[in-house]
Amino acid sequence: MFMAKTIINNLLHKYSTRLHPVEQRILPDGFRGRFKFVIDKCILCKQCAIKCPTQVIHIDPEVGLWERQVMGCLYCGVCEDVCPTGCITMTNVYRPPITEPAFLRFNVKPRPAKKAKSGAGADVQENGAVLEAIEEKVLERDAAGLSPSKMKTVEEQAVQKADAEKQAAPAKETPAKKSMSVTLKPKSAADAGKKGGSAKKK
Amino acid sequence: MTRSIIPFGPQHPVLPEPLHLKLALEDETVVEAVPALGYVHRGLEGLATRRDYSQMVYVVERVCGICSCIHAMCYCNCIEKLMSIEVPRRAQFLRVIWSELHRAHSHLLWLGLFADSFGFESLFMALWRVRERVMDINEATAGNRVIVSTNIIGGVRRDLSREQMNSILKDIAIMEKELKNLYDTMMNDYSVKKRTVGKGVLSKEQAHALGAAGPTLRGSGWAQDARQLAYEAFDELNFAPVVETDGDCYSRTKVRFREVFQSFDLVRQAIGKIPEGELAAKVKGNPEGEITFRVEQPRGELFYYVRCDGSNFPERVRIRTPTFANIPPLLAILPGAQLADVPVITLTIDPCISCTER
Ligand code: SF4
Ligand code: SF4
Repeated sequence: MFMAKTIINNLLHKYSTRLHPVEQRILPDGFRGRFKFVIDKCILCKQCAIKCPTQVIHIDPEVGLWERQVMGCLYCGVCEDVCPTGCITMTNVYRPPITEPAFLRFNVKPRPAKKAKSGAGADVQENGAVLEAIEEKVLERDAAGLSPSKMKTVEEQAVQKADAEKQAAPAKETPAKKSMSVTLKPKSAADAGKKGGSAKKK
Repeated sequence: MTRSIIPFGPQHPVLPEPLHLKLALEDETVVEAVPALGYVHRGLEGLATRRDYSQMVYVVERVCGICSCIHAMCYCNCIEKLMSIEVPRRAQFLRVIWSELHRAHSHLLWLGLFADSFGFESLFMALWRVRERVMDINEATAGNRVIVSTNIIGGVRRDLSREQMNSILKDIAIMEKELKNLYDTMMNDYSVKKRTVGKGVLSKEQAHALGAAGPTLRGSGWAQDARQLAYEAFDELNFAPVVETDGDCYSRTKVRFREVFQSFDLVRQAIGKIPEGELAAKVKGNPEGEITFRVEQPRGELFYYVRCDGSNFPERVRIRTPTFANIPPLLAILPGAQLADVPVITLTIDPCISCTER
């Protein structure tokens, strides 16, 4: 009799498990999942790199490099908290595991250090080369299929943006550089750079 | 009689973590056990001196994979005491809520593993199914299942809304009902009793002399719980340490099972009494001086010693974890046991080797 109750219970009970590929788990809103970058907003202030507990973010303002070693990330969310411009956000999308060390790289509008103010044409050339190299890496990684759908789209956008920027860069960047001495306000350096650039072009 | 040496662990089906014991046997009876540690040493205490205070919170969380929140809470308390930061009352209550949820899921994990260790697989799954609900609460409220990362120096990072608290209360009610059922099954089952009653007895005097901690100590009749020190919001919450007097595997299991209910009760009380207010106090400057702090982890009393010299990094962080305290009692109760009972007895101290070796 005792058993019968259990057996009936078990037969009429719902599944305890999910029929996984068919039935996906809905993750809660507060979940610290996959990152979403709006890298255009980045001002290369380095806050995220300084506060990251594992120190996996590497930023080089001079060449406009924003790089994260994906495997070392703890998904603690500190970088999201400290970013003053809100360009890092965490979505509630499941983050699949990766199997080998990968880098997530973005090209951001460079913000040269005060020393490099007088940077002439050569400097710009160098930047161009670096940007190209970075972009190659991103494409390589994408080709290897290391970053699945969502992140890829984010990155692709970034790459496209970078592409567009690169095409525009030779025209824009030189004047931007020259005008840096006037507009080196840390908060809006990138914007100021653009404005300065267009002003010069006129 | 000739003795034979049998290695137990570091890879053993019942052990979630690499504990190695050399067992000297006469026939099937253990006469001596010699532990060997050091398989998961990660040098976190050394790393502590190379990370600044706010980063370190996320590092100490990884000392233990199960009670992460409580490690962070202890560390934050050390730094807050050194810098005389007044933590907002609401933050203290939130810390209690998350830490008690951690205790509940840690004990449920252990109970499941324990059931598995004597071959009661369906009980193991039933217990972990309940545990899953706690994990879901953590995920929805803190953003992650185990490593919640909610503590920061000066307070907490996340708030609980009224709806979230209500859903926690609802979940707790369901879990209590499910667990009541499982409690009766586990504690009255013939085969469970056969494997646990009278096995690995740690007497009251021994427990005290060998410095046992947590449920191992309370299972031997000592009503000692670091939460009685009334850190965080425990001064406003009513609870009495769970005590059993037999000192055998059955008592220790019972203590842990009853503590799950106690944790749920504490969460309910905390949600009932939580005041409105700020989440975190402002933190400025660097701490200076040295301090010790104790909190109750699921496995027992956790102890932090932090020394700072006013620079950006701590000078020394020393972590003493409860499993470290519970290994001498384990070595004392193993002699005389049958080889087949060794896994069961070893598990009853709830060994967390990552904690022990840091
Ligand atoms: S989530 Fe944490 S570990 Fe990962 S990059 Fe951001 S700060 Fe670093
Ligand atoms: S703007 Fe945000 S992402 Fe960019 S460097 Fe600063 S903190 Fe990092």
